[in-house]
Amino acid sequence: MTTKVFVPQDSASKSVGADDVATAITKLAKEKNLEIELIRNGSRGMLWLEPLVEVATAAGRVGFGPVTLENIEELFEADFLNSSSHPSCIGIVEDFTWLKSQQRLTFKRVGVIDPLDLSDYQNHGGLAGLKKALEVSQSDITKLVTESGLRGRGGAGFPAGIKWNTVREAVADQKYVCANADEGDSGTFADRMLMEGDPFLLIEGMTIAAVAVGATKGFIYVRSEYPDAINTLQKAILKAREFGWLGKSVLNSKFEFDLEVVVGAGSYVCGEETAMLESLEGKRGMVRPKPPLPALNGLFGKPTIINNVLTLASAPIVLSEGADFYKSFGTGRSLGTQVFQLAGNVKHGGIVELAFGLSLADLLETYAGGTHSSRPIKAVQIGGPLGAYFPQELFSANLDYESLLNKGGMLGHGGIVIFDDTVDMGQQARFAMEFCAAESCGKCTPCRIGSTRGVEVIDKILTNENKEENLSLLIDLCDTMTDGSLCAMGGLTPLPVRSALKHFAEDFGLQKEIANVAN
Amino acid sequence: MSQVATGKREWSSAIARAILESKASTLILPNLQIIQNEFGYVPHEAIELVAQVCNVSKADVHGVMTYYTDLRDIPAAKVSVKLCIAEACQANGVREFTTACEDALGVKLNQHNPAGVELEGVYCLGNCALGPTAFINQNLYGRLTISKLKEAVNTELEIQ
Repeated sequence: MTTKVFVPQDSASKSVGADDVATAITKLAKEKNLEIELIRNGSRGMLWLEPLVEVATAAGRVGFGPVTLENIEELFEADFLNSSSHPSCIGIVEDFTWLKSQQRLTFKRVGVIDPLDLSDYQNHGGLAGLKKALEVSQSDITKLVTESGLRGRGGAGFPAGIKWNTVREAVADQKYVCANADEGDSGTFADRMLMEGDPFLLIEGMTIAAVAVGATKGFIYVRSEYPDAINTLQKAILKAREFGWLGKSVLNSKFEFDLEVVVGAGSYVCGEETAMLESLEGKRGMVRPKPPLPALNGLFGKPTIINNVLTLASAPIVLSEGADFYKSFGTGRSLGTQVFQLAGNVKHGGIVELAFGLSLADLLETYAGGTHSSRPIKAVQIGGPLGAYFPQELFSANLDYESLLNKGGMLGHGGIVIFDDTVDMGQQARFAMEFCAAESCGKCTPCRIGSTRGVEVIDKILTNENKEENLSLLIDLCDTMTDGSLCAMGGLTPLPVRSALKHFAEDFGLQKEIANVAN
Repeated sequence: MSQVATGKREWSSAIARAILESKASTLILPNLQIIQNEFGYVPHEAIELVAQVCNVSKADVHGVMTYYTDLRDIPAAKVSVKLCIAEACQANGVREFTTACEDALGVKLNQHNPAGVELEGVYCLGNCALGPTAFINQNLYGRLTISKLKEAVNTELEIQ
């Protein structure tokens, strides 16, 4: 009997040897005359267990991880195709508490299916959302998305349905749908894992958006650092065309829609929607002032939906299960689920998808399992390089858009970067400015020049040069950047700087009271 | 520098023109990316060519060329090490690790050594739970150590 064996093809898994493991398993099985069918799935998001090898059994898929070239022979000796006796066995993967306790809506198929097998996709609920969208009116689609409470998962949190409806109501000869897959925030990898592990879901979400507003052309703007995602998406698009999903008539309907992958060229600001439009037009990725809104005057001046990958990937379930189902998850104005990404110095790093509303402490205690270095956690940066650093005292904060804002932070794209007690927060504040100086598009003076001055001023504070004078200069600079920048790059770079000053004054050689004037 | 990275052609403006004309895009960035994918870099001569193809000024092309960090005006190194130096990897000690990489490879950050190994600091490769992480040519490595780095770089040097 042929046994199905799964070895992830996710690039994180490959980065710790999944390709070698897959080759070795195939070779050893052949030598031992064991019949196996090797499937390259996405990753379940339990990255500390990668490469996580799964064996299909009557009771469910049994997992082994991390599997290395060194322990493969042992696995065969322990008869891992039929037995759970090897110490690396984690039991039935879907019963594994870390995974089982999650509420996976967007990530429900990632790691489960063969990412490029369209029948596998449909057998696991794929295309139900698009089929529903083709049955109802365009205004019903945008109404459903609005009612679901779905907000932009890229960081800004703008209600998706309102954006879609604006594009729907615009009158134009051409409209576009763009997926923002320029996932540049350090500590985030959910877009990548979704594109590698369930690319059809993004295509389905984009097709629904296109049908809703009457767009015939879509672009997925993927950063060049994600070659595997680019490759997987391109293959998926070809398959969707062959299937009659993309093209002149979407699933035999009156709607036309086709898609193209556009590869970025190494610019963080291109994750900002208007800079992304410039880049899609082949120009320098410089931010445009708003208004005009991209919804009305977007790509090549045409009405354009721009949403993050996870926002678009949430649309199919809103359509197939209904707005009430989706908003039964979450709290207040943060509805549905959030895909958190545990990163940095973390023992159990990976993807945790849960309804909004749990606290940072819950997330860290239940899922992170402490630091990789086994030292105490000193700080957590939430929401990427433009997000605030939180100290232990703030871990009770709820992880939703409004609560984090009230605590002086922001959720961003849901990345949670953990630092142990060896981190020097003065250096982290300095890096925030350094990163801004390197990545600023240069449009706004406070961002372009302020960031360089910021590095210099922080250096002076850290080396005890006219400390108080330079501190007030830094505060003034932060105010100017916050108020005088068009986009979040210059506008939010002060957030990590101020939060580091406020909560970790001692790392700047300052007393808490003095540093607190910063905030 | 006459080195040409694996899979890349020696620069030829005639071939470049033919390729760009066959692709028929009038957007600046994609044309520059086509040149770089084909030849490993965008030589100075290509700027005028792209300007003609896109019917824009050389200044426009130069502006795009210098904006994007991926685009390079010198030939690609034989072995490119793109080490993530962003926050999630900093949390895993990449500041100290960068110095160790410089020592192990005999090259300073953002430079290349005589053997043709380039060490570049980049911001985020999306492998943030398994840092330190780096691309060594086309291959992504997680939980990178100095011994793994040396082994991978040597393997790539042998392939070249």
